[in-house]
Amino acid sequence: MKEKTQVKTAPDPVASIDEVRQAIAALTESETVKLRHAAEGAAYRLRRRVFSVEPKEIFNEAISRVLGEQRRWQPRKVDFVGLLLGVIRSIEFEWRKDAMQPENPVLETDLPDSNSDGDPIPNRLQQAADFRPDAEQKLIQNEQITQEQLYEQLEQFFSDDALAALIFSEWRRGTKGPEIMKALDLDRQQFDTAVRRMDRAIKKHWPEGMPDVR
Amino acid sequence: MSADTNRSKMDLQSLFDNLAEAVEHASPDDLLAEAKAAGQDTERIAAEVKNTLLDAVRNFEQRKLHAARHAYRKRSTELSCKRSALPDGASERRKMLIDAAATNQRVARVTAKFRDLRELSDEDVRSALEDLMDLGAFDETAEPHDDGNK
Repeated sequence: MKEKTQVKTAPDPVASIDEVRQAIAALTESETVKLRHAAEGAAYRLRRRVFSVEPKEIFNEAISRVLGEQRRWQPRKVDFVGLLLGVIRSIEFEWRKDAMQPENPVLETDLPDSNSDGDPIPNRLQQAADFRPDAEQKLIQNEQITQEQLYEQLEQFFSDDALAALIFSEWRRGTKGPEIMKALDLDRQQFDTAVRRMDRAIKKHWPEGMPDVR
Repeated sequence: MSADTNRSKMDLQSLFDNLAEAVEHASPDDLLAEAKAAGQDTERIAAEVKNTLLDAVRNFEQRKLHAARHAYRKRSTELSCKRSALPDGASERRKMLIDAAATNQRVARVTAKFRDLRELSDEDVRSALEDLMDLGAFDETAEPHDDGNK
């Protein structure tokens, strides 16, 4: 049997600093509005977890990742706006994850022990631990609302926007966007416009960031 | 099924993803129209975003330049420290070069172009020692009897 000859092609080149600079200069007004919207949204959603994060810091980090080749940009494959939107999304995800990490490293003694059958048993630290919340934790817990309470508040905000309320209610039931669009006979633009109305309502009600939930 | 009586199947992260996707999927023109309808100065936004991004590029370049300068200064300091370790006297310097050429193959190869090390001027001896130091021939990690194939 004849083997297929593999044509080796040179890898797509990674953009230089000058190409990145040119791409920034070439951004249209509408593209900058979109990027600003994305960075502001990410900063807003991070605000209660990462201290005073601003869109500017997110843009700085995004460019640093692109130029530092943590996120390689191949101009022939990906458009610059699409690249930055993806990087902004990664930054939001990673910074939120970092903020949720425990401050202290996990010690070996903190790891669960197991008995001879392999069933987990509490280790010495766990046995000695006092699980009652301290005064500070109690105060924070009392100030925090549950996820369900947050969602109920959100439903109230959307009560005068029938479409937004319906989409939100479906999300809570676990329905995904494409299924909602299909069921409600909405196109992508109508769906996204309604979701952005929700976003504006949330930001208007909690300008300092959406409350953290316990 | 009512969301009021049952726990929601959407966690907060999914809500955030849904909100972010509504911007990612939107056409830039739709967002521009919304921003204008909300009374935002979109020309100013464009200028600010571009300036912020260009500043970020400059910051990155400066960080790189700063790192390169720092590395250069560190290397220069290391070299000048090594050079200051040269013996004070001309005869000691010449002895250092001759001894090194006798015991270190790398030094021997470098000094082979000189017919007789004893006839070199002190300036040439000093210069040869400095060059060898720059090349790391006297570094503690350098093998005195290496075969040069490292």
